[in-house]
Amino acid sequence: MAESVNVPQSKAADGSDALDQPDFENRRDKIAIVDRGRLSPSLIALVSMLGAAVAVMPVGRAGFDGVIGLWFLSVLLLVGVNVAVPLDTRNGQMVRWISTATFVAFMMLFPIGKSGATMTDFGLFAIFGAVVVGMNLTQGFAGQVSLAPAAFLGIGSYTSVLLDMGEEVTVAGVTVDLPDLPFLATIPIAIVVCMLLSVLIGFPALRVRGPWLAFVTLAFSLLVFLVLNNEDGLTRGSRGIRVLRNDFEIFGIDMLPTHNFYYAGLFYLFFSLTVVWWIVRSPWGRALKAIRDNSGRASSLGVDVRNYTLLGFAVGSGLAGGAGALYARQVEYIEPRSYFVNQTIDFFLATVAGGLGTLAGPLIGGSLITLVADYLRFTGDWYRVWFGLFVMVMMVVAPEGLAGSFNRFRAWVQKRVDS
Amino acid sequence: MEQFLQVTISGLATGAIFAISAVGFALLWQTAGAVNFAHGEFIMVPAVLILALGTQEPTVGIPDFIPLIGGANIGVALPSAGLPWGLLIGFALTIPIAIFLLGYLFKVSLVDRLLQPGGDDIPLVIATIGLGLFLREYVHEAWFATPQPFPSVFGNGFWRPGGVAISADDIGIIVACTIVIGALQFFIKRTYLGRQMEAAAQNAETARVLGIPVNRMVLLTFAINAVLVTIAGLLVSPAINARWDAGINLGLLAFTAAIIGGFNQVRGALYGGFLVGVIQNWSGAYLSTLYRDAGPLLLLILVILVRPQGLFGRAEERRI
Amino acid sequence: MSSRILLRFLALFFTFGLVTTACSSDGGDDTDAAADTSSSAEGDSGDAEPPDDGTDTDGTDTDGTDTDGTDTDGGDEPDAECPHENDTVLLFGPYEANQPAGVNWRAGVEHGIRDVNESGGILGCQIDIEWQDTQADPDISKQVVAEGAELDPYTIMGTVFSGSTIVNMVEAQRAMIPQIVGSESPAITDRAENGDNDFIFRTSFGGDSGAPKLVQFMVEEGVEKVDLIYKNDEFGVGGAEAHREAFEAAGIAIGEEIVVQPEQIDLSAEVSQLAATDSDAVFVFFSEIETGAFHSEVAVQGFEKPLWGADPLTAGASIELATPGSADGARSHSGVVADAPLFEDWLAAHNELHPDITSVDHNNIKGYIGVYVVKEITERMGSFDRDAFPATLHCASITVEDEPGVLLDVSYDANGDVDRESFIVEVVDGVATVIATVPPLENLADRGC
Repeated sequence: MAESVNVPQSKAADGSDALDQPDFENRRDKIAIVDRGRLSPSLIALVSMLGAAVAVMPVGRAGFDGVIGLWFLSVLLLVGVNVAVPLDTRNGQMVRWISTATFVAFMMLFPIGKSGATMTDFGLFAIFGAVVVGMNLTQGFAGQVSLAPAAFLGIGSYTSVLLDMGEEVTVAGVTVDLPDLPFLATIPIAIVVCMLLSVLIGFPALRVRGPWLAFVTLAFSLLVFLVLNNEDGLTRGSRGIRVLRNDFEIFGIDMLPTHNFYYAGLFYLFFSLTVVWWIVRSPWGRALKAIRDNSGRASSLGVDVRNYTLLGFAVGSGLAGGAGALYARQVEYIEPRSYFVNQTIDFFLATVAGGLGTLAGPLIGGSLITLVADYLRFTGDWYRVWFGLFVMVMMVVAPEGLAGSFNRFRAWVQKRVDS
Repeated sequence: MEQFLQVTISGLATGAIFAISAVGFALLWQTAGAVNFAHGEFIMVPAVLILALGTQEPTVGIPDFIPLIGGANIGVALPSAGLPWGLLIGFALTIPIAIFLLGYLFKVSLVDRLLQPGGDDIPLVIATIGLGLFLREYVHEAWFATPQPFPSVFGNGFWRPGGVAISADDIGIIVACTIVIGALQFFIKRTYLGRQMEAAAQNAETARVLGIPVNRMVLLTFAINAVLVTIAGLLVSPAINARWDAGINLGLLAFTAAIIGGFNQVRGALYGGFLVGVIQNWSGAYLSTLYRDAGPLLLLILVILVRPQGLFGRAEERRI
Repeated sequence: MSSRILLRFLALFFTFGLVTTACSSDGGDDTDAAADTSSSAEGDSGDAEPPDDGTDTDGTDTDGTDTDGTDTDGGDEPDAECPHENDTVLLFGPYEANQPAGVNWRAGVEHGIRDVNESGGILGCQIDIEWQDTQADPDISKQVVAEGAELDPYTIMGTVFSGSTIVNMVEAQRAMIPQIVGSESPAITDRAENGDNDFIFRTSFGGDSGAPKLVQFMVEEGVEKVDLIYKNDEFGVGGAEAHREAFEAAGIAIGEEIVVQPEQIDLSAEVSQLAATDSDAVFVFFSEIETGAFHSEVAVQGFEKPLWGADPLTAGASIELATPGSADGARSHSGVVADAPLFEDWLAAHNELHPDITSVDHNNIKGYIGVYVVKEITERMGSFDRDAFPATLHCASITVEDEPGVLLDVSYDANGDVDRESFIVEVVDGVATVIATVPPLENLADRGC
């Protein structure tokens, strides 16, 4: 931790930066500090405390409101705990594993004693959390803005639902008899379809530096919406498709109760976290970070900037596609409007607010657009105003997001303790 | 033939809407390097302000917090024989507000802090998406939620020469848009101030050495953008009404027009806008109304892939 | 220096945000409404409660206050056992707080509840309702109804948006709670589409059951060939489909069919296509925004064909958005019209109760009628029997003699769709005016009864 704190200092020591002009490279390095390529223990613990708090809460709507208050209390507690235990010691390692294990355990045990509506909310949290994990890989690690996660969510939903229904569809006058696949088989198909499509649009767009991928994905998501809305023979257009969970089983377990279906979303969230964790620790992840921090330097060191970035984008989109398959069963009704640009903006602010380039950030971000949004519903849409403001302030004050700010704060305290 | 003319003329009018929306976006990108994803909202906000300041509509008054401070209705409409004076007064009052909020404050609080020379554009892209969300939802929550009619400065007159219907608003917007963009092009290319501005944009270091007040020039760019979006709000709103969510579509079409036309040329936005409007209408009339929006989007993707500097832009070396 | 300016700017906005939120949750419509309901209950019991009893203490929780306000009536002796605490019956109201349709629906339901409570409630039980905003978002509305169902309400009153209802009705169905909605999309009461939903009931015509009535009127007006233009969403596609069938059944030929993207701003290509056909009339299925643009464009291109269509074609909001005078002559079929002479007294009472709502429309009436349908059916059953509610309401007829609160005689078919007298409306000098009354179809026998 100590060496990473020194980075901004050594930069400032150059004297090259004017005082009132914060150096941009410097800012980037700060993002790099928090990205240590592992599950940030403090934040995993934080989320597990959320689970703990919720687990002891009474059932029902009133209880759910109280949960968020406890959550913030637990944040304060954890700041204390984590500041007291230095990361790089044996104790620190232990804290990391214990907190990860608590997180998993609490998420697994959480549905006990909860009402169906609460579980609907947490199921959506798990699924959207997975989308944000994928988006965070594209944006936080590969350093590119994709504005198509909602479109990929939609492609995933429709791919999975159509292959699951096994009905005849008509596209451009050609009638195709689709196979009736089991639900679990459609998830990997949805992932692969989304990855292929993202390579197709990302490969040319990533030729030059700049926000081109953002524009291309924006145009792409509008086109996807048009196709979903207009290809009546394929998608039933604006009338949508009902995807009820009645008679829906996975491994013989009835998925109709939201308590059971929550686990499907939760496992997918764990899966995507594992994928990203593995990628970030691999040589590929290190290359990605090098590119994001300074693409010029990376390419001069022989890193194939374009291909690595593209893969980051493709995996992120694939994770969104797989989440789409689950999302369709979660809301039980799919229609093109759910996958419009508005949804992308939600994912986007979740990614940024949670923390770019961290693993725990997406969990916080995902809870912002599902749990916290549900809690704040009494404000009407005012919470969306705050979210917009929050994203702006965050980019200016703390571009590393909530998770990153927390890590930075810990580093700051540790430095004080050390000296 | 009549139908073709009809469709083309109204396509040009719609195109003029896109062009006037796109030009501010292109200007900021060209001269300040700022990619503004809140551009649609930058047009929506002045439109709402014009309506609030210039008419005495009870539905669009003032946002929630102002009644705490004072008067319940600050509309200054002067009812007059058919001429939309109230609208013009609202427009005049909106310009300084827009210059301060959407020009100065935007530059100082976001662009200056997030856009460093030679740096990445992504942080600013993220922040402006947040800004767009903020402005949109703020108007929605604090102001009004339903679309409000917005009168045209050119009135509701129309003519039907030879079976082709042309409305005064269509002609007005095509002419006004061409004049505004032409004047801007003239200002940048032909006046001393404009050339200083361009020089500051192309190479800030050299410009500074040559004694050009770079910071003031960039500020001027943002002020001009604020005036442009106010004009756009005035011209565009009769067609799309004053509404809180107008910015999404407007922003998308502005990006499309600006990128197709060439974002590093102000007149590129003009050509791009007309092209998008006409292509949309032609595909609506002769191909399929279902996919009338798809033509411009496909063209956009194609342009980005093949000719990122735009159809009418000039190629430039991009520094890495 | 710039950082200081930024901080000030942000502090300013934060303060505004907080102040505005504080204000809206203190004096916003939620609390007002809660106070309304509770004060009416207090008036009934004749008990002089301190007025602040019904308002919340923390300024945030707008729900759960109604119970506090209504627990005061000791004077009324309930005829049946009330399903909820303090001799009340709890309803749940999901609605679109950011849309005029949702706000109007809520106002109508509140008006109905006030009237019912003043006349002694349902079987002696005072009605209590908990409102929840769905933000006109289908997914959120599903979550809201799931949460609402856990309150164990007697019925669910809402939603109005078809796109929302079709998503959230499955939650009410699973919880086996009757749901009274204001939506008009045909798919909602189509048993093949809605998974045999016994618990869904409309308060006005669905697109499919209203279609034959309008088409019959068009036949009488001598229309032989018609062009269809509709919006590409749930409302437009569903409505156009229902009318296409009705046209075919009535022998009216269909000419051009044009689909328009939602919120398309330039309709000139479409209008010029319509002008070139040889049809007698144009049938329009748009929402208010497209309708406004369409009227304006038709006036510019100036074709003489009469325009027929759904409610929004002649709605006040559409006329307002169109250029002045351009909507004149358009005709539509409306289930209930607030401006009809029949509803004059009702409208006066409604305006008195909700002076803040400027554009009272069919959604207000729908909400009002919905409350009285619940009352009448419950009184027929003699108890608050949620399980028997659907069977009692299906195929039932409620006349104004039975229950004056339903305003017009109404009968329900086996799917929860309604049949009643309705109106043909024409825009005359910028005002929607009733020009004819269409009798009920009286075909319940064909509709599963």
